[in-house]
Amino acid sequence: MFYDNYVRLCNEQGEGPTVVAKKVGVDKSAASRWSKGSLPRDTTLVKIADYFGVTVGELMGDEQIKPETERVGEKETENATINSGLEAALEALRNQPGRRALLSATKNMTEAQVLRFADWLADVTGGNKD
Amino acid sequence: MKYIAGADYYVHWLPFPEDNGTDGAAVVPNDDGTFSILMDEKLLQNAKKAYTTYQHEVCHIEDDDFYNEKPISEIEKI
Repeated sequence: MFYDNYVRLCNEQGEGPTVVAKKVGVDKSAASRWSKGSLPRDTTLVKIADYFGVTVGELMGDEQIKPETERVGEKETENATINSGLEAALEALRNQPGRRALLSATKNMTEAQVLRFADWLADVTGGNKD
Repeated sequence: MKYIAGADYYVHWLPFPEDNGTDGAAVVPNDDGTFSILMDEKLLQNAKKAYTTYQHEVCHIEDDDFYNEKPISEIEKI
């Protein structure tokens, strides 16, 4: 069941099984072993599931795989949530009494990184009373 | 309004912590009304990137970004 789902998801993405295997960090010969019935390690299963935006349960056939359009929608919502979280953290820092700052953040910056960097900035500058 | 380096704002080059998630720069307001632009020393390896990043920080000061009503997404172009 795993391999059938794996191939189906690869086809949906227009990629070959060996290509995806390499992308998730395993040897391309792994795809051949999977086609003969062996299963990936748990850590590899998680990487494959993440790559396709499905759950491990869906990948293994324990749950039904959602339509691709629905999965894409969920991914976009997740990204929007991450971005709004980063924006909120940066906005809070812009207005935070005693440690105001504007950071040139990369898109991938996390809220935790904003907080850590704000701590570091306050140490370096001694904070501000503005 | 134009601000003058060394009078209205100061530029400090220093090593930023690893894996900080920034583009290598930040600006903070000082208690005396001036500003400090902090720049990651790693940017010194790429003069063009250093200059554009520095200009971005100066724009924050000139555009009054600590005090205007613009959303942070617009200010930082996230």
